[in-house]
Amino acid sequence: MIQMSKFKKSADLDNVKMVDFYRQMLYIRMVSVALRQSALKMELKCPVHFSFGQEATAVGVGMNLKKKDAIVITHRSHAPYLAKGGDLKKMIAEIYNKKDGTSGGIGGSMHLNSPEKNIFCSAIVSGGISIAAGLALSFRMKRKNNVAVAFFGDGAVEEGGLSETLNFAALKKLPMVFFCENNMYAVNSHISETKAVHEVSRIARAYDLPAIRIDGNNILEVYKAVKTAVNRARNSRGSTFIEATTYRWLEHVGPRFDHISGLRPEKEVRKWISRCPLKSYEKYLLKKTIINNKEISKFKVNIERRIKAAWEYMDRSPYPKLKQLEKII
Amino acid sequence: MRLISYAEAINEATFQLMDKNPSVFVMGLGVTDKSGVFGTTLKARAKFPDRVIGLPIAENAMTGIALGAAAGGMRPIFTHQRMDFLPMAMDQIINHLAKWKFSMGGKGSAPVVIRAIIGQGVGGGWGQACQHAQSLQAIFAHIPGLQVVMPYTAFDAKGMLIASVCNDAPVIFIEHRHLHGLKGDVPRKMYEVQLGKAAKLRTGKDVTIVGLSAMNIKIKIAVDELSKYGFDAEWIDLRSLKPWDEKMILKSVRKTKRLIVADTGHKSFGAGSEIIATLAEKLAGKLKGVKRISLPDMPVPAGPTIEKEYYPCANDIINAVFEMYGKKPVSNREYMKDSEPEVDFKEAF
Ligand SMILES: Cc1ncc(C[n+]2csc(CCOP(=O)(O)OP(=O)(O)O)c2C)c(N)n1
Ligand SMILES: [Mg+2]
Repeated sequence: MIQMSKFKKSADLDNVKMVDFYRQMLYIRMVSVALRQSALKMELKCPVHFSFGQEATAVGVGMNLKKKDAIVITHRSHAPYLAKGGDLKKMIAEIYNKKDGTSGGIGGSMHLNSPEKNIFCSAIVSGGISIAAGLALSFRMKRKNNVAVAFFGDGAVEEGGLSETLNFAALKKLPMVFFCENNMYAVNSHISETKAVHEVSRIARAYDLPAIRIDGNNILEVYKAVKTAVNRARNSRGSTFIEATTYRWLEHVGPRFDHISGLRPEKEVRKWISRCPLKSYEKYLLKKTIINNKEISKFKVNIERRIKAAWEYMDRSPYPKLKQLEKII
Repeated sequence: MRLISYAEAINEATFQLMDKNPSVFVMGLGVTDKSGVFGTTLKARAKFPDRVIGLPIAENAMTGIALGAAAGGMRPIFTHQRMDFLPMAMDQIINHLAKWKFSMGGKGSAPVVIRAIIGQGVGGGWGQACQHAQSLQAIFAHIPGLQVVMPYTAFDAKGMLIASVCNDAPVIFIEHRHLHGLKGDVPRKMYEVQLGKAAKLRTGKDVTIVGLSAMNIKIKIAVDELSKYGFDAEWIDLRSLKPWDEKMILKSVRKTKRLIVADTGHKSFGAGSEIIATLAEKLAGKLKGVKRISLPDMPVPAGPTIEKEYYPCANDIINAVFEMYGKKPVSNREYMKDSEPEVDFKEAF
């Protein structure tokens, strides 16, 4: 069942871009590793949903978007936030509930909003999908050539809001992408416990929207599918539904593995870790000599420096005060 | 004496209800999980796996399904891990469930119980933020056709859940995450605690303090401290918000002439507003002081320090009494702490 698809280089990709993909995924992974350490040390005082194993989906989308394009993300927010160009320092400060966080510190990990970067976030399952459609509608009405992407999980497919939005997006040919990360679980429920149809993209076909199911752990495949969808949207040809199959490595919320507590089969978790989106791509790039180990080390040093700076920024930032909030209601 | 936790009391009541009546069943996200919604569905699940139904994430339609099942003779207990997910189901709750009997000229019945858990840490530090820590009881209490209960003790949690499920009209049964671990004396047998009746937890003459849900934890600290200052407070746990025990509170305030309502929700148009307005109507000219202790009119912020500022504490209740008696406010860190230990952050969801 879990066969990794082959990396296929499409003609429009040059080596620089392909290395960019890698660097972005590495960046997200390394930030997650650092944050996980913070969580294990009990330093984080808000619920944190990690994206280990879901880096290719985020980067495949982010690399196709411009700053003025919008994304609406979910509780599992770190990877798409960073991939869309969200500020790392402000993200770390936010997750530590500091005043200089991207939402002023009062949202935490589930509220990584950055309106200046057109990143919006909702921790209510499916809540952001129709909001993305509204952003797409605004682009149309203001004659802007931008695209909105709704990130959501397989769980959100069960909510009525998705169907309602699919219909509207199809009817109005909205410039948007429905991007579903199907990691087969919603909290501890396997998809087979909650849905009669496991290939969730089929829902879009009922609304006459093009739907594609791809290997969400293959960055080249994700990039290509999103590129096609974004081009369609920019050229006023309407919305697309992308189902990217993937897997989250850690527990639903928190920094631990959940097979230890028996929530998922260890074999399944190990299998998916063995097809890590980052490692498999790294292997491919090395084999094709698009990248070498020295370059990789250099990237790592550079990212480490950024991470250190982000933690220092967070450390310097104070906690917000209630009085300051009265102005923002 | 048989000490069990509030969560265990709900677990036991659910099992006994299902054991006694095959029409009772549990539905909700996570009800079949290993953790069983903070341990509250485990016993039912072990004994009656067919009647503990995990759901897709689809709150509105699932509420309609609960209502339809009830119309067909079942008695569903629809469980939500967070009260914040009920807004997804407002159409079915407000337009359908609450109107079911009325719209049929009194003929239909809709015995649906909706369990909703407030995701607040009492002392703060949980970081649940604005979409996972709301306390929306006033919204439901506003709607004719809904009953709203908020038990505080483990004894009441069991007795009121049984009374709710046995009741033919819909009940919004509101728990508070901080109460789940509190232990109380709970009889093994089945018993009902009548909905609509408050509980007097302390008799006094100087001021009436009415508490809802977890606010009673803070009132408990406050009344003890107040007695050291010579204030004799009467403490009433409201338990039922809709209908509420007007009689008991009227009687108490006739005596004390002073009323404080401590609520877990926001101030404006909240439970305290309604109770105080009713008493103002009935005791016009006789009230010497009223005060609402509640959340500010601000969404819940996340953060270890800001949550401590945001949530009211025993110190606020003490000062409300001092203010009524023209005494200078105190600021004692001891009263700002909770009597109960903070739940381990590991369990924060
Ligand atoms: C309306 C609503 N119902 C329930 C929840 C609780 N909840 C948080 S995340 C989640 C599962 C989401 O699963 P999925 O959409 O697949 O995203 P994933 O966590 O796998 O990334 C649930 C049920 C919620 N946040 N909002
Ligand atoms: Mg999922």
